[in-house]
Amino acid sequence: MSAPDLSVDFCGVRLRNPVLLASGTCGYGEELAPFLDLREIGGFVAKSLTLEPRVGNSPARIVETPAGMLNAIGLENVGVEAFVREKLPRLPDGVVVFASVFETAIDRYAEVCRQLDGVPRIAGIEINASCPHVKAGGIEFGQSPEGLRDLVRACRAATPGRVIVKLSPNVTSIAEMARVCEGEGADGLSLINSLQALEVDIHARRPVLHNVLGGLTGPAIRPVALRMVYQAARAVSLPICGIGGISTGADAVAFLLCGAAAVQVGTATYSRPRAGLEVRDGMAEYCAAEGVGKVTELIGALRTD
Amino acid sequence: MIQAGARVRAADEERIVLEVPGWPGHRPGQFAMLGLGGDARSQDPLLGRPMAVYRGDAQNLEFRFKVVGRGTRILSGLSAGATIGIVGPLGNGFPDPLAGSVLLGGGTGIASLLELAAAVPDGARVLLGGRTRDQVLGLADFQALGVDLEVATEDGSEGHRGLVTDLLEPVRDQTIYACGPTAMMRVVAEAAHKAGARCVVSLETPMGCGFGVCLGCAVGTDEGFRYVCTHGPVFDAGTIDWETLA
Repeated sequence: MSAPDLSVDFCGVRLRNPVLLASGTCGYGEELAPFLDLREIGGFVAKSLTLEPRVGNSPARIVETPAGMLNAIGLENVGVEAFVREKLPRLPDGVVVFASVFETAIDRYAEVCRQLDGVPRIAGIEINASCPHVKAGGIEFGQSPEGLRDLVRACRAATPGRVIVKLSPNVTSIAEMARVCEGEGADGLSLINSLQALEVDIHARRPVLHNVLGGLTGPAIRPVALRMVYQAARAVSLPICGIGGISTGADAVAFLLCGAAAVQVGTATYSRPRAGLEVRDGMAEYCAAEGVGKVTELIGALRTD
Repeated sequence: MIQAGARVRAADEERIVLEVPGWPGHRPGQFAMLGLGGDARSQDPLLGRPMAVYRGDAQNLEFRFKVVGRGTRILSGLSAGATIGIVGPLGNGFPDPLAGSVLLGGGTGIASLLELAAAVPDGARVLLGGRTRDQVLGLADFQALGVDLEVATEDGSEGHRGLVTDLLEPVRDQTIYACGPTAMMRVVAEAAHKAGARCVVSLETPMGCGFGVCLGCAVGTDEGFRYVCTHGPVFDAGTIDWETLA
């Protein structure tokens, strides 16, 4: 049997394999160049962009927790203009790159989308509808159906290009949020973003993070992420990219079985910069061992009878 | 920079020696992220541990540390033949030292200074401190270098009874390299500044990735946040906003 075909289509983007690198874990791409050829993974999602550069939160920004970590980086980024002008041109041809957008007000989200619209190198725009550790009037857009509806509607109107909404898990019903996005014309979903969390230093008797709250990521959240992908996939017919604690090919296969057409590898890259390739290779090994000719056969193939 | 599987040659409460095929070499002051767990894919603890390279050659790297938490406890208990992950070399390393440089190390900060001491033209002046003689990391190795060495111990079991900073007499236009507890480095920076000497420090912060993508290791400087893993760990002390390292 020849090598398994790992290629997939995600929202009309042809990916050589289902593995993308998650926003916030691979910079603007070139940071990983010493470790791997970005053309060997399916693609990557760049650090979330805002209209103006952001300097991010004061330290401490991260803390390790059981099988995971909290982060409150504060969406430090170079701003959309510098991304388009300086970061994008440095990527070699053949690298699939998605932009990620975050802002503190809906009209600002739309403006960033407008500035990214039509930029040739960008395969699509991922809307970061939540960040548990950025103060935006205390509201995470992705936490209320109304907020999410208004956000997706505004972004949809701002660009005819591919709009993928990255969902917050800090909600009561992920299915409801998925349906809101489908109703507003999103092209796809990616889930989950980080879980809102807290760690305390009992000797200092203070929160460890300067920002107090942070986002939990890593293997600890994988079962939650998997559950939400399963629920979202049953609620909508939009393509879904699964994210949350994926660090092996086996993890990725589970997400495909639950309905994801692609996955993102995030925190795993911190301890192993080549994690994305390792996940790809693990998927290939599974397919070879199980006699799976095309990885797309696995999408939604979970048996519940 | 590489990500590799490293074979443990030896490990105990004070050091770990790794065989790293393909290690591209490193500069004094650079570090590596050491992964935990025998299959080089630990999920808990999740993150690598940043360790200054104490010394190394083409294939073998030695790291010195103290067991201060779960990660270092795991490293100290690894058996010869075990495999862990390594990412490195990381960070900017020390600038090439000039003759007349003074090196000041306290606690586990001493680990960054051995190879630097060997690189100072015409011999370094090295000041090392610890709570007791046994706590002065690598003392025998520094003695073997034949440098101008002075030691301070809080209990007086070796050298001067007191703090290593007691031994510092900064001279105008001299460069002083300091690595150790943050409070110690601040004292050195202040003394150097007063004397018109230059002070170069190697900082330590909690780290996520060690190679510049997580943005977790930010330190305040006079030019805004910089990352200890890529812009540092070596910085000109005069640029550091020490309050952000509290």
